[in-house]
Amino acid sequence: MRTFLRLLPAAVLVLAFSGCASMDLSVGNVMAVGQGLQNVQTAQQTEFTDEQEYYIGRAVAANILSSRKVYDDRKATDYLNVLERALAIYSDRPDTFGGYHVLIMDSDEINAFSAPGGLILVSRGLLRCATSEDSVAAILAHETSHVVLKHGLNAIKQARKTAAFTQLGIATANTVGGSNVQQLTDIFKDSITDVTNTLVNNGYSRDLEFQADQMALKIMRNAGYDPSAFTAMLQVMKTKLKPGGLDFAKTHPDPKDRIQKVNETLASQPAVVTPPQAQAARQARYQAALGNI
Amino acid sequence: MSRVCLAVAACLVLASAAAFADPPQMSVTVQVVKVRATPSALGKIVGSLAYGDRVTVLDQPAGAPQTWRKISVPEKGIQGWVSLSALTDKPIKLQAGSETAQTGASGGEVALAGKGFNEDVEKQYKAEGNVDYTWVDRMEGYSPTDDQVLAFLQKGGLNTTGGAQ
Repeated sequence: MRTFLRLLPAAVLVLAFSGCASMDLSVGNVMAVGQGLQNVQTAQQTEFTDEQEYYIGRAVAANILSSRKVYDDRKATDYLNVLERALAIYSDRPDTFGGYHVLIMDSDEINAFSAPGGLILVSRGLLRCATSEDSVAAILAHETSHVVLKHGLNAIKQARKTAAFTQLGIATANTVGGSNVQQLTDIFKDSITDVTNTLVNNGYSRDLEFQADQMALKIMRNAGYDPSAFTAMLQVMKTKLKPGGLDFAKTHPDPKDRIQKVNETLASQPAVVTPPQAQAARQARYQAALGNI
Repeated sequence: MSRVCLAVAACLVLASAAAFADPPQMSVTVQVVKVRATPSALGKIVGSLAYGDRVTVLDQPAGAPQTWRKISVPEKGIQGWVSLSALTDKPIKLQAGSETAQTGASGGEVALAGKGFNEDVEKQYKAEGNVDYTWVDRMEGYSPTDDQVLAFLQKGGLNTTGGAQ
């Protein structure tokens, strides 16, 4: 043992240098293997990057807005965008490629659309379901959750993804030629249709909506909002939704089902108590920005 | 005894390998991200990074939030915190001089930047269709500053930690 201990420093040096030598010898191999793996990764890409999500989201939002009028109120829109940022930083995804942005649709329908990447469109009709800032936060937190969870992006059919990622594999060469852009644009168009149809016509599954509700409660609580305002907002929505409507009446679960699940979660957590002064400040600015919505 | 020697030798080999291992690197996956002095979305800004920038991930101090990474970019003299949602462990290589990611790199380095649905595809899509991006461009202009968000949170009696846990 003593002999071993005496030899230990020498052993360390030998091992260290042999480590270096083996590292030097293996660097090339490791890089080659790594390069191969990265190529495989590129060829087998299975998820859209944040950048690709951004361009998909822009096109989806542009399509939806092409048949809807915008409610161009600077004060109301500024207010919603500050509120949105105040919520997003308390989500699991505070940063997207182009950030979160909110626009108001000039419509009485109760509707909202979260385009991939964070472009959130919310109707005046939906905003009228809120009677406080905390309730507006509930609306935006729900829409933010769809972005965080990439529900819109996941509405793109697998066949499109496979086609798109195959094109990416082909484009591993140094340039993307015109024909490649054309093929990608064709796949892009189909992908936009997938997402837009889901958002506007079909809606997400009930499970995804409940998932977004649950995440919204978490975001609200993290930010300091009273999550029970979510129920209050849904209660108003329940009275305003018209059966057979083409808005949330068609694309979202019945508010009473959502209320039930939200209340189950609220019952399992401590209540959030808002000091009167803070409550008054929130209500004042909510009224100033959205009082006439 | 021989087992002890073998164990010690194995530890030394592992230790020497660890000593030579490169620190982990990540890439910025969003257009622009602010580097903060603290792990908070409202922390003091110490620098700014762009899409594709490579960062060295430093050791996380004990108790640091898991959703943030302490990073450094020596060539820009930046060290601070970035939200994990703005980073990817995939390499991103940009073409020199391009505003957005293009495909100028070779082989595995190309990775995913600028590929697929990008600015070129959007241009082509606009050219073919009847889609108006005016409001989309305008809505992207609604970007409140940190000061506005902080004041909003403070006046409303809300959480001002900026996501730090």
